[in-house]
Amino acid sequence: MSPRPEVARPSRAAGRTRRRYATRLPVPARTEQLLDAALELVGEGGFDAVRMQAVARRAGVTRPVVYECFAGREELLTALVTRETAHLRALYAEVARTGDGEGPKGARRMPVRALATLLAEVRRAPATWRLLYVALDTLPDGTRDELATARGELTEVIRARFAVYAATLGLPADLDAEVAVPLLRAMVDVAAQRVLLDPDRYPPARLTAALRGVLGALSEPAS
Amino acid sequence: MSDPVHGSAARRRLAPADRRDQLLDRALELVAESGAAAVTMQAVARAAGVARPVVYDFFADRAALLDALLAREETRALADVLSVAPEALTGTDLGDSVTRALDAFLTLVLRRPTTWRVLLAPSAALPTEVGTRIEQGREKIAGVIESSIVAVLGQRAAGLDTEVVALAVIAAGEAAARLVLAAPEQFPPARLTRFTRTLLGALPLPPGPAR
Repeated sequence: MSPRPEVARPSRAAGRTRRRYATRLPVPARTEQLLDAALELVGEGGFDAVRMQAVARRAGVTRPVVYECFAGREELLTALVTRETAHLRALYAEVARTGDGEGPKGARRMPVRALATLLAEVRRAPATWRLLYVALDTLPDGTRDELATARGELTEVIRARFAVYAATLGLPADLDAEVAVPLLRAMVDVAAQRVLLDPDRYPPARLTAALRGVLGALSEPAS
Repeated sequence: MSDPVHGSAARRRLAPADRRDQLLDRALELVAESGAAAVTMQAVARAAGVARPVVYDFFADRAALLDALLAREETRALADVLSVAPEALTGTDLGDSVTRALDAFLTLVLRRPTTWRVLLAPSAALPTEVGTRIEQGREKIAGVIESSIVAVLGQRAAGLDTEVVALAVIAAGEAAARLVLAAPEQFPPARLTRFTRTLLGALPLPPGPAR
């Protein structure tokens, strides 16, 4: 696999085990730690669960420490969404490059490899990926739009990949991409959701093997 | 707060089962118009032209009402799907079978658009049991799809992970229904079925997909 952009964050474990009278962290490191705690809370209870008090408790600090970094809940949520949408875009970019410059052979293999890349990213950063599926209604307007836009960009990645695949393999020119793309997006979503919810039953390898099997079956003449 | 009730026609006595259905009908309309958050005991009472205590006679609270509503809609939708699926998912021509099944499905979606809109766009405002129930309905449908895959593909289904394929088929079917519900003029069912016919008519794909 090609080298991926640096999206790793400062170790979360180090921050989480700190307790109330932990040594003072420099503000940037503290900010990251608090955002990590907030992201965990989103994964458990949606954006509604992100309260200054809850973030403080999760991070093992007092509430004033949270207020040193963020004026209030809205500012914290905005910072969280800004950071995580940047992560999402880095993950998309990884998927978007799959099979580039590899010719027809690469294009044939691309769907399986793109799904494998995407699901590997889901596994690596589940808390970030979960933001694609968490309810947005309780977010402040601007923040909600920012995250909704980033969610929609995955569809554009799929649209571009589909166009490459269809053109290289010679799928019918009148195949309706406006229909194909939302259907593909829905299938990608269900795969990602299974990996998030039940990775033991649906490990990425099982889902990519299933796709490979389908493409294999569809490339054999009907008996 | 005063609770004026107008319209003696709406207030006439209904048999309890009919009254319950009527309240759920009004609640469904509220969800369709303004989302699940718009469903309050007061709003349902007003829409049905009854006093609020009447609503409480049938439902302990808002969550119980929403749950009853979704239970009813999910039961109806599932019965619809299961009534057309076995017949639609037959034959050995893949393109033809999938296209007929999709056509049958979208027809019944458009027969109960509000029901499907609610079931396919679960909102955070809905109780979580509702999500569980929808998931159980999907599992029943998945079972039917799995056996159809084997029936339609025959030899070619050997080695396929039909459980996963069924999940993908359901996701695609739901996405198709969402398109039809969201923009019926832009995406009439015929456009969706033309897509499956074109795609599956192009089979077999060039050989040798990924290793």
